[in-house]
Amino acid sequence: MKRLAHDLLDKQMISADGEKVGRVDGIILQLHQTTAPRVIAVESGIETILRRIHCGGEWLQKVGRWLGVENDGAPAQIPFAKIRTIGIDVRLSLRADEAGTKDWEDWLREKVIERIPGSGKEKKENKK
Amino acid sequence: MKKWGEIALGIATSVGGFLDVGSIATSAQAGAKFRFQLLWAVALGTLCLIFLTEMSGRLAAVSRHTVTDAVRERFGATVFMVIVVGVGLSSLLVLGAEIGGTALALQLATGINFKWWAIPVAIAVWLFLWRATFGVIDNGVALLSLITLAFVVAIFRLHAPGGEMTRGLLPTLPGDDRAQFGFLAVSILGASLTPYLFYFYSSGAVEDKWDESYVGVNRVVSAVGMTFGGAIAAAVLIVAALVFAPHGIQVDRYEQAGLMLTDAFGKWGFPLFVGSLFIACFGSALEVALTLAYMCAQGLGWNWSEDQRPRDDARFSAVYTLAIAVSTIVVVIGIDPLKVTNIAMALSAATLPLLVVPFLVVMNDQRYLKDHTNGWFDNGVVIAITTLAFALAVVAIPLELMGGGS
Repeated sequence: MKRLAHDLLDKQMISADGEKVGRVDGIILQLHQTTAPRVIAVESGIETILRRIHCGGEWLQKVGRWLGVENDGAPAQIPFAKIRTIGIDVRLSLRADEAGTKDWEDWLREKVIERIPGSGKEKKENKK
Repeated sequence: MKKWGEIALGIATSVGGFLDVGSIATSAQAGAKFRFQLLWAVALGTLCLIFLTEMSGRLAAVSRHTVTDAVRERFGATVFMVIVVGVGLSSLLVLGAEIGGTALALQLATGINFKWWAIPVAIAVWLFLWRATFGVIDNGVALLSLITLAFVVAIFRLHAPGGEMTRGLLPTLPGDDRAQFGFLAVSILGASLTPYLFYFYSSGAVEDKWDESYVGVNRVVSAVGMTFGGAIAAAVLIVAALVFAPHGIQVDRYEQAGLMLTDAFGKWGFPLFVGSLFIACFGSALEVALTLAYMCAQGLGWNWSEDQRPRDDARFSAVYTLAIAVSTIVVVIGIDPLKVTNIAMALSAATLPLLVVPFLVVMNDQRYLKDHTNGWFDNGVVIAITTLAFALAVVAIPLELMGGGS
């Protein structure tokens, strides 16, 4: 038995390759007329949080589209089937690049951070 | 043996708590105006900090999760967002005050107005975060901050009266100027109990890869670190009491504070003060900017580490970059750093309950702390600090208006 808000929501997601890939910001249910509702996916992204606390959030996708972020920077949805274990953290069976929670990160890296000298783009200067 | 090198984390953290521009200013003001009568506030702040940092370090060592992690997981997105906005705003102001403080140290040293120094200082802070690893920042700040021990040495050189100082450890109300007395007491507590401290310390423990075997080390590191900071803050107060109070000098500008150490060290006094102010403010600026990035990254589940190259945690690096840029504006438009400091300290006192209350829940969670959860004594202490935090939060803003204006 799992209580959604207590045991799933707000937890840190860790990818199969051990990276932090966002938190469970929302839970997506599929409603059926005949059977009980089913959790089909979890959602991750600032927009989901803003919607949860009733502060809009739609504008974020507009900004994302304008900036040319992948998927307009919309929240990532991770199928419930890809969740391997649930403890303090949620472990996924997806790799970090498959989770889809890094659209903003990728955009920031390519468009801003890497253009500043010393960001570590050049291979030699590993700061370890 | 290697583990004892971790003491640097405790000392670096306490620099952000006690030796930031706010604490130096309020301690100097308190000593100049009320002699040793406010020493108890420094002692009380130190005691509270020892307990709270010990707890955040223990949480990080046992669970390898930070305070922010635990707060988001246990209290949800709403509470987290409230904390981010509250602590975020006050931290931005504090960051502005620290950049301003560093710039002021440079003004004292060179005579060139601090507004001109704000941008070079901001760039230096950013460059450090951009390039250096956590260990370098942590050890560097801890090592350089030893210069502030000059204040402790000064007490001995000035032959401070032991009896009167000891009496200052017990709270007493002065005959007049009670509003300002209250304001300074709140400022001292607010300046030392800075919310970002616990976030920084627990993130640092995770950065330094503490595990369960560090529970004992953590106890020593937090106690020694915070005592170091508390002792310096007390020393600043005492020196100000010995140097300024007899002449009735009130410290309302940093130029005055700059002469504090001259009686004790002669011509070395001024450079020692400027050096202390510089290191303390610069170190605190690094700490606050880093903490803002930790808080956002951890609460939102991004990958984070000061040891990674900026390109590997782009969002994390973007947060501190933006934070430094925004808070520099406050300094550049020329608002008096001492004013910014006072407002920032009142604001941070007002947000304190938000930070302390979660300790009650998180520190008793066995999923995080296994068999290292809080005992009845620790919980009692948290309840006492919570009460104090609420009292501070309620009186901080009115006292700021009444006592700070004068």
